[in-house]
Amino acid sequence: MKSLEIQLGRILLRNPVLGASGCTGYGYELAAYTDLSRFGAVSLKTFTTEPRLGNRPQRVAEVASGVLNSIGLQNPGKDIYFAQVMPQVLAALDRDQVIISIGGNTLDDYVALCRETEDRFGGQVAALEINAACPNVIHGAGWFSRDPEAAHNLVKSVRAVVSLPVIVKFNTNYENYLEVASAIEAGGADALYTTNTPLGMKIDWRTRRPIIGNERGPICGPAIRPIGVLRTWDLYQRIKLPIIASGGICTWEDALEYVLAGASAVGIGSAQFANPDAANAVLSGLEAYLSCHDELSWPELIGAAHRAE
Amino acid sequence: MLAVLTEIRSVTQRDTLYTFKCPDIARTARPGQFVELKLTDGYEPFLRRPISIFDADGNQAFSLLVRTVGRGTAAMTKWDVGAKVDVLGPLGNGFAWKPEDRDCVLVAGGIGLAPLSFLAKRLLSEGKQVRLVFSPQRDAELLKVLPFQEQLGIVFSENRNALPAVLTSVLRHGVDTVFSCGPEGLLGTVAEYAAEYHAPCQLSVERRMACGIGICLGCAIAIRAEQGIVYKKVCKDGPVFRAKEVVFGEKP
Repeated sequence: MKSLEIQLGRILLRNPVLGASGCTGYGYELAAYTDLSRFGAVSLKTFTTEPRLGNRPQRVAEVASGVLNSIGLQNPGKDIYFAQVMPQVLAALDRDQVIISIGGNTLDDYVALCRETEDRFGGQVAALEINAACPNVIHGAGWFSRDPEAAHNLVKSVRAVVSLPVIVKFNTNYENYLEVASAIEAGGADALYTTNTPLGMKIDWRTRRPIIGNERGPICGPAIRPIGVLRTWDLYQRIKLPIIASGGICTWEDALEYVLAGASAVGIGSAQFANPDAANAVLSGLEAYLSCHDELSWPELIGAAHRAE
Repeated sequence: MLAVLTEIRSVTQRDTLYTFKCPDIARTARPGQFVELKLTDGYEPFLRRPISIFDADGNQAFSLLVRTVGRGTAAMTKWDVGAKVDVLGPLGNGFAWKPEDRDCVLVAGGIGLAPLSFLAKRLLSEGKQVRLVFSPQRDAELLKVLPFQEQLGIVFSENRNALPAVLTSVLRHGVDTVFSCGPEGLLGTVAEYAAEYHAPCQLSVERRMACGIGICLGCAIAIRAEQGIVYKKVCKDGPVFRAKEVVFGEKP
C-alpha cells in the first residue's frame, strides 16, 4: 500500500482525510461506527473560554442535496472541555490525530486560550485550529475572516505564543477572501482550512416561517461542493500554504476533485451525518485509486487540474 | 448494519407498518429507542430518518409504524419486501420504569402511539395495569395495529381541547407513572396535568435530527438544569426526558 502520509507545514498526518470540525463531534462518539485509527486527524468541535448555549432550535433542516446546520458553537467552555472532554479524546485518538479547534470573541481570547491549551495538552496533540470561520456567531469569529489585518494579527499573535502548528479555518464567503488568505499565510499559519458554508434559508410553507430557529444557517452537503471546489482552485493559485478543503465531500471522487483543484488534504463533514463511516470509506476509495495507478503519488495530484492539458 | 425488510402492512391510508429482520436491533431494543434509516444508497435525500421502534421481538425482528408525512417517509413507501436497508440503532435512551410501578398511564398523540405500543407490551408482560389515553379520536383507526388492545384500558380524547378533562379524570385518583409521545402541544398539556396530580412523567420528544449519534448537536432541546436552561441532544440524552425538565415554548 502506497503511503498517504502528508506533511502540512509542520504537521505530519498519517493520511489526508480529516474529520471536519463541528461535524465529527469529539471523535470518540464515532467509535462504534467507524475505525477511528483511519482518520488522518479529527478537528474537534470548537470550544471557547466560556460555555456557549448554542442557537435555539430548530437547528437543522434538510434541503436539496444538503442540510442547513445552525448550531452556534454550543460547547461546555474550557474548564469542562479540558477536564472532561479532552481525556476521552486522548483515549480514543492518537497524538497525531488530534487537532484542537479554538474559538474566541477577541484576539486576546484566542491568544490566551491557545496558550493555555498548549500548556495543558501541547505534547499530546498534533495542532491547533483557529476557528476564524464560524458564520453563526454575530459577534466575534466571523470578523477574522473578513478583515485581512485582523486575520494577520490573529495568526501572528497566536504563533508568537505557541509552538504547536497552527491551522487557520476561515470563511470564504467574503469577497476579499483571497486577500484574507494571503494575510493568514503572511501571519505564519501552517495550513489553511477552507469552510465553504454559504448561508441559506428554508421556509416551511405550512407554518409560513423559516424552519431554522436562527432563521438563516450555513448550507452543508453536496449542494455547496461546486462552490468549494472553485474556492479551493482560486486559493491554490493565490497562496502557497497547504490547503485543507471541505464542503460537501461524500465520496473518494469528491475528495479527489478537491485535491485536483489544489487541496493537500480534505475534511469530511456532514456526510458523516448520513454515514458515520464516511471518512474511512473516502480514504479506502483513495487508497484503491492510487493502488490502481502506480505512476501517481498524492503530492502529484495536488492541484493537478491546473496543470493538466 | 443492514436490516432486511420482510413485511409491509398498510394500517391506514397514511400509516404503514414495516417489519425488518435484524437480530442486533431486535435483541437489544428498548421501548422509547429509535433507529436512523438511510433511505437510499447515495446521499439524496441527504439525511437519515429517525423513526421510533414500534416493536422488537427480542430475537430476529423489529418493526416501525410510520406515518407518511414528507419526502423521506414517502420514499419508504416505495420500498419492496426483501430490500436491504442501512440502519443505525437502537439509538437513544428509551423509557424507564421501576418494578414497583403498578398503574401506568400512556398518552399517545396520533402517530406518537408508535413507541408507546412497544412500552405497553413490555409493561403488560410485567403484569402492570396499563391505560392508554389516545388523541385525537378521529385517528382511532390507527389502534387496530395494536395486538393487545383488549388488555389495555383505552380512553379517547376527541381532540387536544378535550385532553385536559380526559387527563383530569384519568389522573386525579393518582397513578404511578405517566408516559407520553406526540406533538409538542400535547406533551405540554400532559406535563402540566401530570405535575398537577403529582405523577412522575416521561416524554418522548421529537426534533429535526441529522446524525442521530451525537456528533452534530442539531437536535437540541431546551432542558431545565441546575445551572439554568441548557440544550441537550434529543438523539443521545433523549429522546425520553422527564416532563419537569422540558422547557416548552420558551426562548432561552
